[in-house]
Amino acid sequence: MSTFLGGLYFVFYFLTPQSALTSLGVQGAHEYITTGFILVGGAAIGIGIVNISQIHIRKIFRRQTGWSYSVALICGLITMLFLAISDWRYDLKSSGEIREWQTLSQFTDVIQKDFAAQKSDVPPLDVRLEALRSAMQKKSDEHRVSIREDSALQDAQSKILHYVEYPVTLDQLPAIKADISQYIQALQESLGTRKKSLLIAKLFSLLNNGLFIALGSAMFSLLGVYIASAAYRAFRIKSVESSVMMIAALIVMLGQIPFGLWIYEGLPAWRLWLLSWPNSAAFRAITLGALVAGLVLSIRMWLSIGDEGGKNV
Amino acid sequence: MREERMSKNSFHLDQRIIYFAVIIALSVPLLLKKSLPPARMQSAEKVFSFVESLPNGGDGKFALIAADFGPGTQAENQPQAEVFVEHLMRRRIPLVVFTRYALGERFAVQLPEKVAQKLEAEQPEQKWEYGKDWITLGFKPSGGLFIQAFSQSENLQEYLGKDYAGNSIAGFERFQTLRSLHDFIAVGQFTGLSGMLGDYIQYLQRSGYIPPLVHGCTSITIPETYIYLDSGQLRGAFEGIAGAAWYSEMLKKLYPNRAVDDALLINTALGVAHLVIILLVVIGNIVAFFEFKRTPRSARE
Repeated sequence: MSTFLGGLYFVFYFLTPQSALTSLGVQGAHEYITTGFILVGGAAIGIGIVNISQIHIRKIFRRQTGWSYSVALICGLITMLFLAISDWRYDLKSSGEIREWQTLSQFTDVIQKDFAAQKSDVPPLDVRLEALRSAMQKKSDEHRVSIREDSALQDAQSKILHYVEYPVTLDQLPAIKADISQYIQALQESLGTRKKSLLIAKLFSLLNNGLFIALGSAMFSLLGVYIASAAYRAFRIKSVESSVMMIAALIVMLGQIPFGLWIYEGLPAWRLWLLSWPNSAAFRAITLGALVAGLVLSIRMWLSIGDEGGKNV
Repeated sequence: MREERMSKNSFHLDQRIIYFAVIIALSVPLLLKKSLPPARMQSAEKVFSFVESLPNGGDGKFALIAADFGPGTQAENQPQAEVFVEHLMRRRIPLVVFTRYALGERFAVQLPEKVAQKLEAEQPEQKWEYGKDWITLGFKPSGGLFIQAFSQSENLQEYLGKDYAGNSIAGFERFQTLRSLHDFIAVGQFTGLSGMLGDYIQYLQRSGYIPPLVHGCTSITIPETYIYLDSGQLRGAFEGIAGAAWYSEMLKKLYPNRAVDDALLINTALGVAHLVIILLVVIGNIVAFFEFKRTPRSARE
């Protein structure tokens, strides 16, 4: 039922004209609905982690065959989770600091716009300017200790401290905004530099960039040598069709490498013709067939056709 | 039966020799840092002409970069994305970078940083800054659903909320005018994963507006790309590393002080490996032919 309802919404959304969706209020809610579906997808990742943990922890406790590899997997999982969460928490804290200064910068804009528009439903100008001044002072005092060793950040902050000593005036707001932007820039650079020196960031970088990414590249690079070996062993001209395929493959391969130009300058053009005409025609046919099959499969899944478990729902 | 009788006397090239030949073919050009002029790629030329037609500075509009590749296809997709981002950065068009592939987040974050550093090294008097010239949204899950919601959103700042580091997008002054899909004048999508491009073709449109789309693919997915090039749904494409190499060559002609990048080196190395594979296939067929001739007629049937 949940599959059907979920699918029904998207069928309705795609087939209904946009003007009708807007008048029904669906257009405005679509973002939230799709975010909900994305969250469900995110929950699936969590379920995957729980499932893997259950299987492998059971294997370890029962000392089943290969339990030592399960230990390695669980240790890797816990280590990366810890490092990734720590990395994320540091970023969250940093972005929180920056966001507070960005809010102050936006506040200067709001004060100027409201004054220019002579809005009456907002606090008086002098109250808002004083609020701005005291917020800047409070934020600056919070950071005064932590930025002692950062001269660039201290220089940027000294410009802001200049404004908090006396009442802020309206004509100072553009300059305050510019100085806050400069401070935010210096703060971002400082936080980025500080992060790089943290042990957790270094460990995360080592394991993620140095190990995980590198191993992924290495694993895929093995395919190159396997393809060469498979091509030598299997690619045999035994019929007219295989001859045509071989010639086409040669033209396409030689047409896109620098050495092809040494053989014949027109090879890239022949390659282009092969890919634009015969290949496109064939690929369109294959894609159409695959998409029709995909459509049929989607309808089966949507309506739970052929699903034995669905009968009991 | 026939294959068995033939294989008893057949010439068998040890797989290790094949692996060694391919490794040597790939490593020698990379180690010697020798590159050859690339073959002309018309689809990459279309991308180049398209970017050149965009207004300098973007005129208040943005470019969207989808770095949907991971470590597996990094060798081809990363140089493509780098030359495209470089060209946009040189024209000062602000970028919004993200990825729909979980393993691609690192590349999405580091790609514009690397290009910006390279440009600043070439032009020390100019700066390219995060928050002014680009922002990175990081990894966005749920693939097609995200693209759908992104395309239909009436307030992208509210929908996207924060960048990859948790900073509010509304706090970046240059990106405060970012509201909807209509604010994008170019989209560059780079991936080696089959089926990813389909989501952008299908969903990246709003109220009749379809932002110009450029695609960077691996050599294996070139055939799939051509159907969209031919129909005009793609403005241009980077056909594997060869496309990136030709684009790099065109950038070099336009900006003579530009430093050499990896695209030309990798293209040359891959070209040598292609020749080795072709040679192996030819040798295999010649050997099979002579074995077939040597085998008595009775054994052939």
